[in-house]
Amino acid sequence: MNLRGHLDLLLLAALRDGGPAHGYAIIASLRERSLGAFDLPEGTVYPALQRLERDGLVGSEWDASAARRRRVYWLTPAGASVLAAKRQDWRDFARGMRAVLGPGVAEEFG
Amino acid sequence: MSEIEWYLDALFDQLAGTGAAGRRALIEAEGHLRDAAADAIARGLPDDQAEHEAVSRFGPPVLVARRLRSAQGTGRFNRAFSVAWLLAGVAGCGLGVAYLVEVWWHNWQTPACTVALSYGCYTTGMLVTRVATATTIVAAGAALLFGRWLTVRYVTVASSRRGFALRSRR
Repeated sequence: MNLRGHLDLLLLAALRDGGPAHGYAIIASLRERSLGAFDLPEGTVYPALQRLERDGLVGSEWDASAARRRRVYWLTPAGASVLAAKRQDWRDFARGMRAVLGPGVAEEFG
Repeated sequence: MSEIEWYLDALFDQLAGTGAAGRRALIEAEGHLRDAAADAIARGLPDDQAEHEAVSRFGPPVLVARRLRSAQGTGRFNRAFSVAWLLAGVAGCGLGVAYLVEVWWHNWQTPACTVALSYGCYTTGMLVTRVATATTIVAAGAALLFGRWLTVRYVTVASSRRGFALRSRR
């Protein structure tokens, strides 16, 4: 599944639901919660996280407590606001798609 | 060399010129790959297959580096600057060499003379001046190429796309 354009929303949602986490845990969470549907090149998640950090939507710092250095990310208040707005956009989009594709799709996907 | 180490070397090459962001990405990539390989080994895969799976899932180094440059927001400018620098160096070297060949060819075709005659022979002084000029142009082009090589390798200015980077790759 092509996730371009949706990756930011997914990353913000993973950080909101799972709390602060490092990249590998975020990716594992996305894969698990999507039941394997979101099979993206995992290395592209890190540039996306850096971009979100540059935009002030996530924060990060090195966690030196683990045996291996890890960068831990968390959702900032600005990120939470953007996530809420994007969720609303997505709801509107999904509602429109259901309306166009018909009631059968709506029943199938809830 | 393990597949993860090979991958990290390739990613390091691709990230040349990205500075602190690239260094951070490389550290994160290594942690990620080693975690992924350890998880795969825990699932029962042999070491080499576990590393192969981790590397495959991470994506091609060129793609990861491209996304990182894009995330930095300076990739396009850096690449254009780097390519312009490279072209200027190559053009300088090419122009100087062409001039040297032209001087040699002209001198070979016409007899030596002690003064500049109307049919175009070179005096020794003219020949020395032309050779010195051509050599200077070649040297300037080479200096540009060497400066770019140093910059790509040590400073966060020039990007290093495969095919344009003037550096040895293993």
